[in-house]
Amino acid sequence: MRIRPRAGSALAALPALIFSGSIYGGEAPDLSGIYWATRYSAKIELVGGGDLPLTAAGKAVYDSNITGLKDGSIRDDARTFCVPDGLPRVLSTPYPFEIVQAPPGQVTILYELNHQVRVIRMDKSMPDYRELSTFPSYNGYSIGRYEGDTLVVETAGFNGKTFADATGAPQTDGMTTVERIRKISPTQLEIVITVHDPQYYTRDWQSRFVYSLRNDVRIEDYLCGEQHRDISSVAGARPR
Amino acid sequence: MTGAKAQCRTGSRIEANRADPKEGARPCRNTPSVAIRSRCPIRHDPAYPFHGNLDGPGQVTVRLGNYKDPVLKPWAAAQMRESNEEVLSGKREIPFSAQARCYPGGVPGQLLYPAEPFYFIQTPKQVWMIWQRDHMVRRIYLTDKHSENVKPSWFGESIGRYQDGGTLVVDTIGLSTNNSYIDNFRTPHTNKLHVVERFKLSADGKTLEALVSVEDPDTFNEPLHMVQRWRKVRNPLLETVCAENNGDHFDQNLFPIPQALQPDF
Repeated sequence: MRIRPRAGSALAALPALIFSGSIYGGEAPDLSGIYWATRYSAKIELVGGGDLPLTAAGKAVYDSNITGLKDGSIRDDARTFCVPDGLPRVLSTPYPFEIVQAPPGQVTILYELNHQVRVIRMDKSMPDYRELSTFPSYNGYSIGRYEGDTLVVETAGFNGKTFADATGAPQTDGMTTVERIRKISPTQLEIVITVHDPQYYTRDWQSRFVYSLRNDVRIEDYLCGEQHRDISSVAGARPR
Repeated sequence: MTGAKAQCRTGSRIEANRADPKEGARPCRNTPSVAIRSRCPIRHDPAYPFHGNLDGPGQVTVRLGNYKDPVLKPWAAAQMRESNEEVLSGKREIPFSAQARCYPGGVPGQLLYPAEPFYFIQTPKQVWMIWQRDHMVRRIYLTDKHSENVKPSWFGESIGRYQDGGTLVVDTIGLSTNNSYIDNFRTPHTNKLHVVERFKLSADGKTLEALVSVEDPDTFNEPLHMVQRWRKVRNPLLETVCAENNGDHFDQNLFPIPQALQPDF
């Protein structure tokens, strides 16, 4: 053995593994499965309709995002380099995703698009601002709880590098979200997200997404720039 | 986590990478759990010994595989030699490495990622292996049959079963070949690659060991056997995004990271 880990070096983060136990038990509603949207919208659609309630600062950033995405001076990293979409954009994915109510104390959401992984901690409380801002991330830090038939997920600690949708709707790293995830029929999943981002929006706003249960498909490998699955069944998603 | 035993704190490096380069095709003496029938994995070119970041003080070198290994079919040897020469000539200062360049490591190559944890999620019908690094995911379906038509992919189709109570046996086929290697020496494979991995926790629960056999009659003259070990820790699964800050800042002609010229939708 010639390996000499030194205190404080990157070796402190040595390879590791959590070998988990059985699936989540108890009174949790069964939300596990593979889901796939049937329609896609590049522009986020608000519950109750209407336009995003942008502040003046939000409008300025949105306008500059729209212009920049069009002329190429702003790059959409989620589509170009396949970094995670973040919330709420990932909810609009035209590719399937799966919800795994495991390991114990966790719900894991795995998206085919950009092979994103979201960890929802069912046994933790939200860290304070200092802790969250130390390790901001695209998908943020999520905690969850069950309320009856609904999984309620609160997320904060975003990195502010994302767009709220494919048109470049702006968001800050101070955003927080609440998702309410439930089955609305044996074969349909609904996610309603509430977005709180007062720097760019005059009020909290909501968006609703519905997905079909599709346990007949398997999530496929996804690598940026490769040919991926046929998504022509998803209305509004531009076919390749 | 502290107090890990010496033999397991290395985590994820294939044992053979540290072995005597002159050992050649002799049985893998570093794989005690395997009977002495094992043909070792490909190692570094003896003319260019590998010195990695974990090998203590000294100049770190790049990985140049031993293309002269007699287990290789001529096409594979030629391809590896070409890849080595690209590095030796200075054309590409750092050779392709899947996880450094944001590509899936394939099977079994993904097991080689050394620097961040990976996680198992187990349910009665399926096992997920999730690498924190670039959130790579492998799925293992707990069934006894492969699909009739497997569409080739980076991680192929893995089926698994539990054997003798404590061993997860994973059988993988359908591995695509473009930029896919079985190791960090850029040892190639064909679409006949068949990998069997046996994952087992040590009796004290502190170490996970994977015994891996790699068969590919169009690439190797006989199956290769290898072992990988990890220390078990209780780290939270964090988000590490490979494509961030991964440009070729020092003009080393790095292999380009995956990029979509046209968005999918």
